[in-house]
Amino acid sequence: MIPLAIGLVVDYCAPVAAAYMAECAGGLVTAAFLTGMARGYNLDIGSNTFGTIDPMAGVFEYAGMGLGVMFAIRPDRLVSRGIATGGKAIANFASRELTGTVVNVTKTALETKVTRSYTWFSSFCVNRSATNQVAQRTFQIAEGGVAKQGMQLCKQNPSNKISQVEGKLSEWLGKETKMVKNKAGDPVFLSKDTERRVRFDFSNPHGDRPHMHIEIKINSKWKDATSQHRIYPFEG
Amino acid sequence: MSYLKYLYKNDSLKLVIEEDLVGFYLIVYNDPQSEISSEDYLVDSLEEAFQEAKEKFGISSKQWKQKS
Repeated sequence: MIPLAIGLVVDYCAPVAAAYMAECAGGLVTAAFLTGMARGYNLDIGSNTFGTIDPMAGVFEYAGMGLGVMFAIRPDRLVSRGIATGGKAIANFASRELTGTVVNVTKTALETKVTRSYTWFSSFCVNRSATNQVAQRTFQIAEGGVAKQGMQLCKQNPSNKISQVEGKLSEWLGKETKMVKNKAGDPVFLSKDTERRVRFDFSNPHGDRPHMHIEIKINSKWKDATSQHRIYPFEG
Repeated sequence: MSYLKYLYKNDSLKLVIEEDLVGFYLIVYNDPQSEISSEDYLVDSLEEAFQEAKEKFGISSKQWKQKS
């Protein structure tokens, strides 16, 4: 209702008021301002008319124009419309990326779908990125730590580092690796001979930053296979 | 499903044993007031967790309090 009322005032009342005030002594500046507001609201923002009569009135006319344009454009509405459109685009993009289908997100379900899709998509990206980073970091650790224990690690190929890292991890764990998830959903990879394992604490890092462990069994006890107890793949 | 949880706490150390689907986690807090743990060990049984705590920190199994 308020925007409508403003619109009515500016459309119908302001020109009349301006005309009336223009006839009154000292009302020139006010008339210029109101006229400017009416013109601004109608997006008629060319040269001013009161400036030729009085420079100060011309300034006020421009000021009125600015205010009128604001009423006409409603920046708050533009911003909210932009957010809604952006959210919708994100939701559709995320859905398309993940499902391969175009989903037309309705306005009524927009908020829910944006949240779900964006969270899902973000999580997907983070996990993908985390996997790469884990792999990179693990390779460095494995090369420096595990290699001392007799692992055969060939030189990395910088152009294909990630896949090689994944290969080295698999190689270290051996074939037919068993994967189980803890109650937080974090995976624990165990070698077939149950002598080596890689475990992740990403979802529940016990209050610390997300980390992982590379461990070997020595005398029936799990020991760190690396110099670090916790490996932080998200560091630098 | 309820999981076992044990707690040990003194002025300089807090230990938590949490039962999980994959075994038992022994979680070490070097600052007992902090929520940020310092170390965590995954072992196969509760007895192993107690033993690990005994070997690493000298805490006997009688000093633990069951939380849930």
